[in-house]
Amino acid sequence: MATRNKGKETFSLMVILLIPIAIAINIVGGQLTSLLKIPVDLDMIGVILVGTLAGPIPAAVTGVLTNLINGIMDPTWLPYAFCSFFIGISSGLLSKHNMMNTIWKQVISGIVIALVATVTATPITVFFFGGSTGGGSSMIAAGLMATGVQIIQAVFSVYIVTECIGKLISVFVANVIIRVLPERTLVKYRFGEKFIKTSNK
Amino acid sequence: MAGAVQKDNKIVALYPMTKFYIAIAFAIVAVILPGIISKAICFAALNVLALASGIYKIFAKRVKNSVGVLFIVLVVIQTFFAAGDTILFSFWIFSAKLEGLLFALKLGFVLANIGGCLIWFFAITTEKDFVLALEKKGLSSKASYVVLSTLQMVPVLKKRSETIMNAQRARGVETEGSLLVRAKVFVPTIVPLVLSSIQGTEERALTLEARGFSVETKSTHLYDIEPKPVDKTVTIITGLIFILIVVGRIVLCLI
Amino acid sequence: MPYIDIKNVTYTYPLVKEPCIKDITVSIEKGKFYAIVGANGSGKTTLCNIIRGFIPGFYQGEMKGVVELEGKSLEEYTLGELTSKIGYVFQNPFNQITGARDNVYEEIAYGLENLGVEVEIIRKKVEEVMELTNTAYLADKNPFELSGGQQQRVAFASILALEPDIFVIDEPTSQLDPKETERVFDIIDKMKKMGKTIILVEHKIELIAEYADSIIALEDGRVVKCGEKHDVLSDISLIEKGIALPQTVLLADEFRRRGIPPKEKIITKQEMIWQLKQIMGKSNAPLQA
Repeated sequence: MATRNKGKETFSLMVILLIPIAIAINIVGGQLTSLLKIPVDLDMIGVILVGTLAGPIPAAVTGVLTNLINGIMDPTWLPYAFCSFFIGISSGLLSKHNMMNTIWKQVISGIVIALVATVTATPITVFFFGGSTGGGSSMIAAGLMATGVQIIQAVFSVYIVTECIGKLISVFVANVIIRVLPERTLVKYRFGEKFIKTSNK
Repeated sequence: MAGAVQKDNKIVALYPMTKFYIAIAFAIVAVILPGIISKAICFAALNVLALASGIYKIFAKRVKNSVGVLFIVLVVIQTFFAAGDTILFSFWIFSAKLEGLLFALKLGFVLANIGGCLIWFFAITTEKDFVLALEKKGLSSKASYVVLSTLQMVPVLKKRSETIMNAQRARGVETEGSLLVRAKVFVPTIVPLVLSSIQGTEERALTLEARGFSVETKSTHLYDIEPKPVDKTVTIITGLIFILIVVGRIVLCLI
Repeated sequence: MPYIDIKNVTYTYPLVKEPCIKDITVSIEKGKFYAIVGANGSGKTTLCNIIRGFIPGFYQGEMKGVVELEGKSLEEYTLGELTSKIGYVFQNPFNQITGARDNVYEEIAYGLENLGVEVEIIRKKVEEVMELTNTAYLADKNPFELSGGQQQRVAFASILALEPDIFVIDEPTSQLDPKETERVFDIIDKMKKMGKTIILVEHKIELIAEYADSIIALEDGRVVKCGEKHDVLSDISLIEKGIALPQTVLLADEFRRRGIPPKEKIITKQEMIWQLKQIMGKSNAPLQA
């Protein structure tokens, strides 16, 4: 039968169904942060969740699609699909190497993802958008520039701070969700077994 | 999903791929044309196109909120903080430089054109039509499912997040106040939202199997759109104009 | 030859030690309406998933024994063949909305589209099942914006459109109000009259007593009783096994204990009324209030 052993393939039906939810979580998360006026971006929780559970490729797809769908209303999202791709890949690889299991590993993972996000987003902001980071952080970046800091350094500095906070929270929230998912759901995903405490094996 | 699109407008009624080619060709032309003025003319032409498509209001609003904001910040940053020698004017510790301003205007109009083209395209094309057209071009039905169900899922989850937040308010949880107070609302709102959605995936997966989602037969389309003769004509004309401009630009470079 | 033959099936979910289904052997006849009853956790839903072929494929875990449909093991069928032979309706109405389509008409047609059926035939079938399930007035609505009961009827319509011979229906009314429950049973009754084989998990025992033909009673993963509904439901000992029985059965038992033995096995209200009329007619005694 065709469904046999399909459970752990990269794009099993469970993963295909997880992606739309993850994208919706990214979008709703982004809207929620602006509604609650929280000054960091929490719009990649879904990507990190998919990466942690299902691996790098599904997470990268989730990330890119999030930016494409947000890009329908606001095309300035589109170039950053490049960052989302690498955020997805890195969170998937971190989970693959068991870097999402304990709180300290999560902290390291959060910082690694933040670094990836900063390194990929800075050139886009500087070269595509002439240094405009968008939103409130533009003011901080402009303030730094006023003190004589180069545009690229100002953008980088702003990103490294906001991304570290944002991605640490995102990794934490994604892991809170995984902790409360029932085991029978976890086993359906490629890396799910890593998060089951009482394994009978 | 995007609201009702007026299909009695001749431009709107074109096949999605035809409109998509126009948008892409327009964006490329705007990028390769030299000088700020030609790019500005391009952007003006784009506005006329949006007006003719009968969606100017929505077009203007989205352009203003996305590329518009970006344009202003870009001009400020580049004029005052980029390197340059020709000082236009100075105040306090700042000095406006011509090089920065020109660079900002050029980049700003390129971005406004690219962004505007995409905004125009999605304002006159429903995602449903576009995905269907892509599916006919070879996009896998699984990929099109992911896109379409995401577009359905976003408003459903948004509504649920509002319900959860209202329930929290009713229980006396503060959703306003200091940053820490507001941040504390985030986790208890998003976690149950994700949980309830993920737990439904198992049944939805079985539902899809029961509806033949994994069956590899070529599927039929109950809701269908086909390119009309006018689409062929428009595509050819767009292509010709596009080639003409590109060739013209190259010749201009060589002279 | 039985239509569906479940032979010595034992199944254990992944990460669990104890099997959920323990050596079950049941035969299903074509065109009959079976109800699966049992306490929570007795394996009703798992048995449904086994019959539908989702176990072990989708759920993984370990399965022994075999399920045959028309003499052929389920594993020998392709996914498409199974889809057109066995339809499945679940408990949660919301999760049965595919999300692929933005109106009810196309939602119902989605399965047929996937099977590559011609558009004209799709339209005909969709309109037929909309009539049958009373969903025609919802045609242009977004399936996500319907009430639970409406969504459940759309789910039935979507499966009915595929015209399977067998329907596996898992607690379709557990989240619905009495009015919507009645509508769902009305649909199931129509399906039975169309000659479909129905396998239903349901807690509302009075409705089972009225509509079903046969009953499979489960306790802790084993079949404790299986057969014609009168034979199964008149067995008072089932109560100890966590299986609810109709009020009428309890009443008949009470009568029996007080020396008024009913002539037949009574499980429905109508049968009880008939029986009482018989008794009253003979004894001419007025019925005590």
